Amino acid sequence: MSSELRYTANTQLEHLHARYTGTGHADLTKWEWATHQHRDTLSSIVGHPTLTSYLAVADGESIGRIRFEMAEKMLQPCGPPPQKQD
Amino acid sequence: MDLDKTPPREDIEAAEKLIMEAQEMANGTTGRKRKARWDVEGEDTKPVNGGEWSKDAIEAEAPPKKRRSRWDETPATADEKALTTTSAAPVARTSRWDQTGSSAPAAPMMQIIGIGPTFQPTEMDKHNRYLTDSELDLLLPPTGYAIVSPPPGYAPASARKFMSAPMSMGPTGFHIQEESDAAAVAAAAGLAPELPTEIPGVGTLAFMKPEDATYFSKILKEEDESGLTVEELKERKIMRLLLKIKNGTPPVRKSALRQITDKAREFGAGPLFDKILPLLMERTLEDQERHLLVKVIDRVLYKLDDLVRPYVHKILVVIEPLLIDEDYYARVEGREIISNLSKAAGLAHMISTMRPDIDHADEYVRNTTARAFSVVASALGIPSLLPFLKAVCRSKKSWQARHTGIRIVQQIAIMMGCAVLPHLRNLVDAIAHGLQDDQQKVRTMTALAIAALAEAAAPYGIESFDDVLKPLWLGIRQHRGKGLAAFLKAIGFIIPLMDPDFANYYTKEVTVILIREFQTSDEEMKKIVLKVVKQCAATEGVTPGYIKKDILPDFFKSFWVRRMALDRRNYKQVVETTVELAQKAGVSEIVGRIVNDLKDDSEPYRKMVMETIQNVIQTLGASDIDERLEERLLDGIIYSFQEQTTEDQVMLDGFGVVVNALGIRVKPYLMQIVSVVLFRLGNKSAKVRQQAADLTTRLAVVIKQCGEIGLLNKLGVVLFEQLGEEYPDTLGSIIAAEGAIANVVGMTEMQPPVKDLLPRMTPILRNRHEKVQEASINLIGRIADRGAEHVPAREWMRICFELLDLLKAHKKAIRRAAVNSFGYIAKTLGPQDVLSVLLTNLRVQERQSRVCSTVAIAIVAETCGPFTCIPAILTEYRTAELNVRTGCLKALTFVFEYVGPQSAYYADSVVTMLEDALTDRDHVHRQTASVIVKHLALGVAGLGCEDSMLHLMNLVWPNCFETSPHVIGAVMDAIEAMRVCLGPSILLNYTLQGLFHPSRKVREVYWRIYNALYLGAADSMVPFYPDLGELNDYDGKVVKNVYDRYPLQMWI
Repeated sequence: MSSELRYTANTQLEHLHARYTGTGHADLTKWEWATHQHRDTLSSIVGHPTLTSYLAVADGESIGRIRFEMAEKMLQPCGPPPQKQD
Repeated sequence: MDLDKTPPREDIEAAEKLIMEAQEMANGTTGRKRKARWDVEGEDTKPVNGGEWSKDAIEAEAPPKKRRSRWDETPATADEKALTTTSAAPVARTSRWDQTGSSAPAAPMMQIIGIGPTFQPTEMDKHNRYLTDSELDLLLPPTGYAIVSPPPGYAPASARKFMSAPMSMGPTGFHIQEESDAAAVAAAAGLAPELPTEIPGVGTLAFMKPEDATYFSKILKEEDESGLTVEELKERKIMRLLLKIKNGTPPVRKSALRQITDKAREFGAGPLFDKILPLLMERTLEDQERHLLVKVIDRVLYKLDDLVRPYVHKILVVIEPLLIDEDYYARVEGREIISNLSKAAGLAHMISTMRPDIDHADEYVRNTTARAFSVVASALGIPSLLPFLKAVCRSKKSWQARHTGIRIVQQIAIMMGCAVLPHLRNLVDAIAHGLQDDQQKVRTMTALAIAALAEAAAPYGIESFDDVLKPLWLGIRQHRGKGLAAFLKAIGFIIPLMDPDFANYYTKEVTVILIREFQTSDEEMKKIVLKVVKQCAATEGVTPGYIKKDILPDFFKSFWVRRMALDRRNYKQVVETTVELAQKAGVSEIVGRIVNDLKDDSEPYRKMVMETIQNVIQTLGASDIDERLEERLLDGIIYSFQEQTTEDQVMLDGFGVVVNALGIRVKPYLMQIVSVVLFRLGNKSAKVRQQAADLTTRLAVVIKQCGEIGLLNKLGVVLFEQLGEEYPDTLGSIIAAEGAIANVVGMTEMQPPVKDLLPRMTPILRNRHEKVQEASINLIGRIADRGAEHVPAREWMRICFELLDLLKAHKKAIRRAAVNSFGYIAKTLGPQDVLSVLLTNLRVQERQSRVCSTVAIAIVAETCGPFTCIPAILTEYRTAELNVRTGCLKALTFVFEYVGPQSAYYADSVVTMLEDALTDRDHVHRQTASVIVKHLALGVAGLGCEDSMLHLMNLVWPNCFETSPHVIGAVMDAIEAMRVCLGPSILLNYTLQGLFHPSRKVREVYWRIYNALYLGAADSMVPFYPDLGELNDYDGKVVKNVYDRYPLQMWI
């Protein structure tokens, strides 16, 4: 029973997690994690109209422009992936 | 190795003399006889010379232990010539005692059973086999014994006779098993204990069957492999892998399967299938083994791809019979292989391989080929096969080819179902001409194929059948017998696809023939006719008037006869068709025609009538039944109920359904019905009493509807008097009936009064029979719920103690009812007494009883308010006993699960206890406490208990490194619940500490928690991510990576 569970329940949970974008694992790099955070932030802004209009006011841009910019930024929001050290 | 060290002649003579003397001395003949049987072939007789005996014994032990000795076999005669070298013959000669002169076989012996034609393997069961020579070697002292020639009158055949008489066997004797654990396990499982489970180069196997020894003989022994060719080495490698896959333990099997897959192309198709296919042909192959071999073929096919082509036919010969196997899984696996085979070999090759079998002389081959083709079609798509099918179905060469082609279409329809729809017209066009074929068999098959296509396409696709309508309807006027049956079947499936107008027209056309065939004596035709009538009647276009006028008279004349009730399949078909006809013709039309038969002499026929009436009234109600019919109906039902001799449900169900459908209209007959029930309750047969009680259960509601409380009370009292019933099944029914009456009458008016009934039930609760237990607990629960105040408190306490026993019941329904009853009882008595009973019960041994007690405590808490229970549970938790403490925790988990938001009032009171439990050494304590925390946190979310929850969170958190699956599950749940209660930000701050921890073990756990958090509340985490600006990668000239989240730094 217990060995069965060990092989199913928890590994299943991890499989389940791995199916979603934005989840992490023990070997995630800081760049990857930060990229996820940025994308989450950008999508959160686009998803909350009040936030979008707040930014629009702050930037003096139209709401549509802000929304577009946020969407554009989602491609490599933290710049290109750093070179592997070793 | 010369095993045969025949001693000098003088030795033999001396020994013979010795034996003769011994024989003269011996009085009893049994001992001598047994010795005599020891050796059968006279010329092998050898004397014993001391040391050599033991040496021989060692030599005899060298090969794997023998299962079978020549004791079991008639001496080699002509039979022996028939045996092949790998089969029984050499096996018989395992001991040096048996070897003639120079024929010492170089190869050690294998254990083969069930191959030789001379004996039955079943008789060679390990329980009744003879002693083997090696066992005799172990048993008998090395000196003082000689092996003698059989006496002149010894007839070898008698050995065979003795074999089937187990009494003649001597005990096997005892010797120490020197085999591996696996062998011991196999022996314990009843598998052949002497077969080796340790094979050189293979390792330990889960089991070994005698048949396997033949297939794998080459690898069962050690041999010098340096002298073998590459091919031979490859062959042995394949055999080892196959043996591992087939007989190995799961891990062994897994790695072997991977190896054989990886090396498939290296091995080549030939050597692989030469080994796999004979194994699959083995008759004694178990389902599991077949499944594994199929899996091997699947994987290997995938790897081999087109290399498999030369072996397609060979594989098909073996696999095709699986397609018509009785076993469903065998058929599925056969399909799977053929489907993969066709993907690997390609359509063209499959067609060219199977082409010759299409007009094979043997019907069996054609049948399997057709099925195989249908699998190919489903694997590669119908369109790719269509041109070929068209050609085959039009073949001029032989009618067999046309027949098979059409059968392929039929099989495609059966197998693929509605997936034929896109190709329906093409398929129908391909076979349509077959309806006018010269060969009757082809016509029949065409009609069957069309029936299958129509069935698969239903309810769509009528336009595709346009071309076959005319020949079909003309055909039914021309054909007779089997052909006609097939045509009718096709029509039966096409009519439901039609528009109402057409359906009506075509039904009229076919009805004439149907009515003519009503009188057929052919059973198959009868069934088809019934089915077609059912299908026609169900169509929208067929009017009730038409059915009443044209079909019903003949239908009832031919099918509502006693003979039809005798065959089970006919019976069902008639009932189904009649019920379908009733949908159109109406209840009174059908019931009126058959109601008189309820008084028929034949009981099966009465049952058929009753079942039909039941189904008709169940679907259509009884409003159509007029007064006269109602009288006849009830009269008939009462008659047939009383007259039944076999006890089954049909009459009972029918009675119940009709009476409930009639409702208040039954009132005039109630007196009569109840007196029948009362009379039968006193019957001497327990089954009759049981049935009467069951009928009461079904009648209770209707009797109440009719306002006959008096009758109910009378029944109640009689049933009450019957509670001493000794047959548990009957007792269960009686209690259930009493319960049904109590239900409809109500606790206050119930006769006998509840205060008398309940004490009578208390001893019955001790009955161990499930039906009795369930009925009693339902009745008691009902009384506790509705009329507890009628019974003194002392009685309820007594019941409480009895109920504890029911918590151990196997049936969940009983346990649940018992647990609920505790709640009801606690509600009337007040929780204290019940609670103390339940808390005391936490000390018992049985886990199930304790678990149910905890649930009951929680239910008491729910019904009487948590404040009544939680203090008692907390006090009880201070007991030093482990079971009690666990029980208290468990009870609290349920309490907090049930009371939900009310937990807010109690959160602070339980914190100290949870502190204790969460810091306990016992991980089960921590696990259960985590579950409490989970329910608590979810219950108090948003209710301002964040301070105490954060405290609990701090205690739960360190447990996230637990590895025991239940514990970690509970802890993760608790943490997730905390996310809901405390919000994701706090949890995020906890996880940030370990996401990039140097230890991987820590990182893994923290990332798992982070992921759970992220999936639950990604959006709300956005404001709380740490500011990573200081990590920006800017070397003074070029900005590479910027980690600042600038949009969040805007400020107005």
